[in-house]
Amino acid sequence: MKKFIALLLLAPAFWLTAEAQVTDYLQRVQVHGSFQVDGQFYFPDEALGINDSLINGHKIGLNGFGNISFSIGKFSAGFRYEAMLEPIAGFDPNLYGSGFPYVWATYTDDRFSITVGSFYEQFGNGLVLRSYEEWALGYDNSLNGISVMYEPIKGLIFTGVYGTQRYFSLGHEGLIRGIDGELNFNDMFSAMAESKLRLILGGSAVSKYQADGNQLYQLPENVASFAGRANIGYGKFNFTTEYAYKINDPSAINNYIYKPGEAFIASLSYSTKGLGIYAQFKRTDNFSYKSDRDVTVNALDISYLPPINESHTYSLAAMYPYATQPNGEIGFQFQINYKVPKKSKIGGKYGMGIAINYSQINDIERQQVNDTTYVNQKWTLGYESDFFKFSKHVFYRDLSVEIDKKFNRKWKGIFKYMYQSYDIATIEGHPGEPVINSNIGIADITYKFTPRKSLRFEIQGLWTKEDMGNWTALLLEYTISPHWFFSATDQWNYGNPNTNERIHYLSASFGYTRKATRVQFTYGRTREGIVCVGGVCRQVPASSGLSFSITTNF
Amino acid sequence: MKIIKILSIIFALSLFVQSCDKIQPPYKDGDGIDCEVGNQNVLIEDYTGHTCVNCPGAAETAHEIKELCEERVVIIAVHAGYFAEPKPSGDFTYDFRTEAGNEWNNFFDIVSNPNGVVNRLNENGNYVLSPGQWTETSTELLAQNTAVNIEIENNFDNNSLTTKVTADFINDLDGNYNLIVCITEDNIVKPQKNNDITIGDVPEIIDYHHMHVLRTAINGAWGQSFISGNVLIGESISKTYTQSFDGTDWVAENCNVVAFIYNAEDKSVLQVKEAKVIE
Repeated sequence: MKKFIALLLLAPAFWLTAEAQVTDYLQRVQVHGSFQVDGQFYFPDEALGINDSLINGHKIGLNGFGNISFSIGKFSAGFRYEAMLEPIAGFDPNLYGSGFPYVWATYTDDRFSITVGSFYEQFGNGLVLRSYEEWALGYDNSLNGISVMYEPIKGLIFTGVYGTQRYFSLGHEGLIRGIDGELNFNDMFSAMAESKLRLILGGSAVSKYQADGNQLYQLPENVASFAGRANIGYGKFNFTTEYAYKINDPSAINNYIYKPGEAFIASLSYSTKGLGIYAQFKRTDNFSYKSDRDVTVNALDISYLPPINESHTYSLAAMYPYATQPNGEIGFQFQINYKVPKKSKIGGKYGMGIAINYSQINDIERQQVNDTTYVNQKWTLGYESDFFKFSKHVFYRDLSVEIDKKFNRKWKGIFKYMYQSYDIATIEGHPGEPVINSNIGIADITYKFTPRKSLRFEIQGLWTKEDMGNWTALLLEYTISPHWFFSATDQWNYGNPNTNERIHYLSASFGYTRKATRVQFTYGRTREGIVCVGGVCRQVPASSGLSFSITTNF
Repeated sequence: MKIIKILSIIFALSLFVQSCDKIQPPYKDGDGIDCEVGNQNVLIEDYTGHTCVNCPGAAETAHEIKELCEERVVIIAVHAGYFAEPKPSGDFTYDFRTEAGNEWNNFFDIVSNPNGVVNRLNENGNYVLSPGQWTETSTELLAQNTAVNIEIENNFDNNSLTTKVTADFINDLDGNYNLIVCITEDNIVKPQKNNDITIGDVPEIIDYHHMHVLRTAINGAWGQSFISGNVLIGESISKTYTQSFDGTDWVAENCNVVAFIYNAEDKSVLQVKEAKVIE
């Protein structure tokens, strides 16, 4: 009885201690999040060939997500909720649905980290493994399983992954396992800590498993790939390279050939005050690597083949974007950025920026493996190819010259000229259509009324005899920073050989930003086209209507 | 701790030693399949288009599967969607599209070609299979048994087809099933875009032989109710339809009747059969 009374007397003390601990814990919890909702209301538009029967009741598209993460000390966890009800036109219909496709928990110690659930990972340049998410494409190949990172000694990091990949809103069984090691000599050896020479070496191995259910042909159930990489810096120079090899991996993308795949990328850069020079070379040969050999859509990629052409943001410059050709390409890129000094004859009071970029991507050379087998014939070894030989077939060529000039405190402008050669037959799968050679001119001029109010005027022209002919684009954008912007644009296909298709794509937008929240509304037409991010592309159908976007984070 | 590290490295390396399946020629699997096992026939709906460059390759894949167990594999080439649209001029003015094909294309959510549906099976609501997946699904199905066999009797007279479809039950069955009866046509010689040199000219085969082309669904895109409730082993159900060929460019000698019974709820095909219009 005495014990019971003693316990009763002590209970409030325990309660207070426990409450204090909980309060202390809660104070240490950090919560972060981001949200985005993109929506589109579709209207009929006879000029674009959009009528009620085409819309067929699908009047609204909605893509939204919320990312929430919690952390306390060495532990963190989070989830991502997505709702695509239904997906905006141009996104894969398999994204339809709502739920939690990304849920994770991580424990991180000084030299050790483990994640269970969903995670993104990249080994080196991503040639043998890159899982990532790109909202603009509706692309997410996140892994679901276990990821472990271990740093036994400073400068040496091992990463291991094991899991399945996300496949839209559907489940998938393809299994991926990978290991990566990276050695940073400057971190590992104190004698090199301050050295001008910077050296990082790395290597990875990845394997995928998919059962062979084909009764007609033998298919490899386990397909492994290996990569080695180096990053060498000395003073103002930097050199990075990676080579990857993949064993036989017959797939729908490569027409079910058994040839091993290879990928090689190298870049050299020099950077000093006012001058930057960058050169890059890439060769890929039969290097599509997906966790499902039969999938051809933008999903389940294990490898990532980085693009080596300039990424364009102006609308007409981005009209014919290059999509990486995983079955084989060889190309290079040069870029020079030069800042003409202030108070020089050409630079004037504020200086002037000049950027020149040239990139070219060809097909690789392919020879028959024997006299009785066609090049790339299904269910054969496919072909042979010399490593450094360029085919005469040019996929893409792009020369751009850009001048960035501030004239005075009120006026500044960007002027750009581009020549582009685009093999639409290969890149968009329209065989027989001629290569599109185009000249593009852009002037982007900004006038500042006050430090917070400015008007931007953009005029672009694209001249070509091929495809849809000439285009022009105009944009007026009035900004009241930091909160408001209003804009009106028109893209006009005035040179379309079919006079009925000389359509104006008019649209008007406004947006409001407050702290970390941004809201934008756009009303008007969107032209049919292709959106690419990092060489991965999706088709956007023509549409007409009202769209909005809301983003916020905390 | 060191032992754990060493063991971890050995474990990781052993994973990769086992993770390489290098296949040596010949790549063809000699085993094939036993067509005498199972009575479940397979319906491959090849959603295609005459301006789709990869579609001749898919048609060849379907044909390879048909060669495995000839009459037990039925193909319907459904021309629908963007790549099936006729062009206002040039080589691709012919309109292969059909009302039923368009409706199926929308229902099964076929957004790109080539793609297909095999026995209208769905996984988590997804019916679409890429051509590379047809073989595995088809061979699995061919080994299975189903409760019904179909017989088709055709009579073509005065440019009109009369077709009698009979379902013979070899097992009891319960549920709601519909019957669809279609006409397909072989050897329609029209241009087709192509990117496979092993099949024909690239980028266009002018005299491509279009096979198994859907011409019409005689009793509507979703057919008519055929089984409702319980049917016992040994029973038979028959339906007869007529279809005039007047006003069409169909060549009766090249045409087939395809009849299939499917589950009205999930659309999965219970059984399928094909017979020439004129034997």
